[in-house]
Amino acid sequence: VKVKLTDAGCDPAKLDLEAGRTTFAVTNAGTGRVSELELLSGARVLGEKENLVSGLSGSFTITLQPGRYTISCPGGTTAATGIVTVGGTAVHASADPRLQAATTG
Amino acid sequence: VLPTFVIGLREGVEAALIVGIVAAFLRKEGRADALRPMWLGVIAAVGLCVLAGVALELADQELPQRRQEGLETIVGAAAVGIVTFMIVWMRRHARDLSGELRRSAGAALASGSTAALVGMAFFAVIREGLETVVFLLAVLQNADDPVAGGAGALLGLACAVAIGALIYRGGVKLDLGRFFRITGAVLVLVAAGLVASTLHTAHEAGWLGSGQQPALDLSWLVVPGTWTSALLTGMLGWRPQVTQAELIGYLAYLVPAGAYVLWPAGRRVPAAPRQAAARP
Repeated sequence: VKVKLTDAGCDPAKLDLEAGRTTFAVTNAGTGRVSELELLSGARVLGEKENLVSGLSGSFTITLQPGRYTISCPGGTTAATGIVTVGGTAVHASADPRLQAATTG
Repeated sequence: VLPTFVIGLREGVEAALIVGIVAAFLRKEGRADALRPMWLGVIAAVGLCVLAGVALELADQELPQRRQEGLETIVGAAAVGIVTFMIVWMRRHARDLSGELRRSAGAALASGSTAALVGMAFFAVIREGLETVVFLLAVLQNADDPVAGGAGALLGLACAVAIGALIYRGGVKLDLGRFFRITGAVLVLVAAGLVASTLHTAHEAGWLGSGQQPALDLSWLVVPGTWTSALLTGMLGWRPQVTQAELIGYLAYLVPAGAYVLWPAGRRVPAAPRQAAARP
């Protein structure tokens, strides 16, 4: 899923995703205010990318379970936080390709 | 100000501050001989970070951010311990640091402690270095204006090194006995800031989920994206948004440690017997 950092914060600030292995591709679309994106479950950080100045992009990948999460783009004016809704069915831990590789050898 | 300058300055100051303090302390405590291994360690750390950063780049891998935050948390916690050790050491030895006693066995820094300090400088650079190298490489390759961005980041790092050098010079010039309170108070502020920033990285590493409600809004003072914010965050651990956990940790360190340092000398607890025995 692609998210841009803007002066407002996270763009889009509302995401509807399906459960499973998800890569967050974060791009700074030319803002000097915001340089970081965090994905949180409650108050716990699940993944983040920081130090993204104008023109830089980065990504992180995690396995999402169904539920509600928040994204945070600290420094943004109107969209410093956003909502992520994950639907679908619970994903087995072995959906993680690394874990699969490790267990099946 | 260029955003890359601010990031370079902040990451650099966090490392330069600890290296500067460690170097000044070793020098003041008559262990100038340990400065050489310390510098070798710092250079090795910079080299390792550059190698690791380039390797990540060549393998087209992202910096594992959570592991990076975990590393920062562990090194930050160790740094709190080391700075606290310095504070206690200086307080204990502040009175009899003048003249001969300084060179006596009782007041000399044990080699175990020296090794810990040298190791601290190494890890302080590792802690910030990898992230900085990855950032620098990304700026040079992808930023809107790689030349200005890269120059800004390098300039930020250069300013950070200059600040580290100033801390070292200032620390060496201060008379430890007379100015212990000033040095001690500065170290208490630095260590309390390390406590707060360590709690922050612990949160970002996914280790700390509680106490994350906002407690204090300092964004009027620590304005995001400014060079003053880079210094305030890098040196004192102050952030625009302070969480409850960070505020409690900060005060829980600052208040008792501050009292310990500022308590009038006359009412001081008696010096350790070891020191008394060392007196001729």
